[in-house]
Amino acid sequence: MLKKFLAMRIIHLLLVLIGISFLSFFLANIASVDPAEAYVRRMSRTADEEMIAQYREEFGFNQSIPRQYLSWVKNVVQFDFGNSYISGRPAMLEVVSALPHTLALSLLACLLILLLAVPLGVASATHPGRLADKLISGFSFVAISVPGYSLGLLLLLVFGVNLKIMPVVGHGHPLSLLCGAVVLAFPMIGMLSRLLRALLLENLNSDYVIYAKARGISKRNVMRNHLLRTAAPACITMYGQNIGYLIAGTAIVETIFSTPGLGQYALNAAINRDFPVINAYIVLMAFCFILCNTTAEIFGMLLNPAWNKESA
Amino acid sequence: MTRLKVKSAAVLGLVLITFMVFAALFAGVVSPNDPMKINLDDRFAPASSQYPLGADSYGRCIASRLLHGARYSLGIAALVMCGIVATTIPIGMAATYKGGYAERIFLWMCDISMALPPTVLVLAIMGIMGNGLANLVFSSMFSYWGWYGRMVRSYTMTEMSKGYVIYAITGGTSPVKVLGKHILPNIIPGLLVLFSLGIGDTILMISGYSFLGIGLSGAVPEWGAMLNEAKSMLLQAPRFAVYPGICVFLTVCAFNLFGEGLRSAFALTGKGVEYD
Repeated sequence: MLKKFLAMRIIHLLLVLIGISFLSFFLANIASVDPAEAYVRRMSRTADEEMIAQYREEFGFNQSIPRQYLSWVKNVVQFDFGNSYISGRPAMLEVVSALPHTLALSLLACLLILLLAVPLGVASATHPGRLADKLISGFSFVAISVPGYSLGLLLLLVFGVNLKIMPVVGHGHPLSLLCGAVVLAFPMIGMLSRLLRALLLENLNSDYVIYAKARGISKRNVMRNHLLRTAAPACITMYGQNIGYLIAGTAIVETIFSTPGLGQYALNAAINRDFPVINAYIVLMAFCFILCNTTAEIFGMLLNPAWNKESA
Repeated sequence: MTRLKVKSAAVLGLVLITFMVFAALFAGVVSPNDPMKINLDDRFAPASSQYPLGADSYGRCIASRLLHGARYSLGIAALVMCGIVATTIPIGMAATYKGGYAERIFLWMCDISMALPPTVLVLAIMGIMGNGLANLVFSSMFSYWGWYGRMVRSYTMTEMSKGYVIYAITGGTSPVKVLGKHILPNIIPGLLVLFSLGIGDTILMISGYSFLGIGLSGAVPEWGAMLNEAKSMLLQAPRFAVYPGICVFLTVCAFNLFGEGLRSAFALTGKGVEYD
């Protein structure tokens, strides 16, 4: 069953990648800017028609679109997305070399989410309607409504400008890494703790919990062995999806805390219309995103008792 | 007791939304100054009767810019949502009703849109197609389309398995009538909650893009774009960053309060609407 699921997932990934490649190719061809012209004009001031035509030939822009598409796919399968129009280095290399900064930010944010969302959700569900629940619910609501850039600028203002314990410009300081992770994690903490609270409350009065309590099992153990176990699959699925969003959503944080990560790199590529880099970025992100989602789904399935019984 | 509280939260949200919509509609009338007019003599002017919230680093009236900003922030989000509503509901319902290949193609389209996080799709589409408001609206619509499409499908499927729809179909009611007269009215409450929470989300997203300098130029008084300008002024005048941030926060809060209030009013379970 797991094998079948994985096979379906891989087919799914391939289909989606094909769809995305069509899309990015289609859009690039209806765009108003001629990439060869843009490239030549950036390389030299005295660009003339002849040079543009020469580059068009070199990059293969003068071939028919299906042909261009096929040759592009042939290269992409070998992880060759072409060279960046800006730096001239291989696009894939550039994108992958920006990845570590982003991964460090995202991993720290993931850790923060896990460390904060679960206790908050549990605390909120064990005292429904009490002050703690109200405070946590209020916090979660604010967390999902506050714009990330505002929070980021606020942290920069407090720690960088007022307290002066963090550089305002420049990266690498552990505190700016932590602040970035907090900004990334903030809305996810709100979402996950709300989901957990809702799932726990849903089951709090179900028969199996009442029975467990009647057997004299302590509240703590009921929570750990019964309630949290039931809530785990849905939370893990959401958490996995969030990791994908985190890796993708770092552009704002990286801009604020001047981290030279993937988000900022992709942003620059988008502004400069550096097609090879954009394509490499899309494919890498699709891969990361689907990998995170699938891993989370597999964990969710393994933790789901109903599914275990079915497969046995 | 809780019911009342939920209701008052929804009303508070609605009041805030109404206020923001009025600000957007009548920005031209109520603004004390021209939001684009540069007055170099009044750079960094403090709050005064002429500039209720002071002037920014170009001497432009902040209050007027915030009021006009409501136009952009709310307007773009509304445009994106309207586009999504107008396409996902008819296509999603029809494809689900028809089943077979229509449904599969619909799901495949949703999958492509959901294969990438919205940020990545918008960055990529804007990079390929070029900067501009129209492209921003299009790419935002596309990046959220699949998610809403799937929700429409799941709501439609739930209704379709119910007795009254099955009887209507067996009784020979035309598909258009089944979809429009029977299914649609019953899925509207769920969709209303979904889309009102979605507007808050879209406002956050769009202002985030303008903060990054995608879509709108810095001169446009959009809240995110104003924050982008304020970032370089953080040392001299941190208050520039505070006002637009508060505006975005309040607007998003308003839509979230309203959406959640509606959800409780319709007694929908949390799971089905937000996290499915």
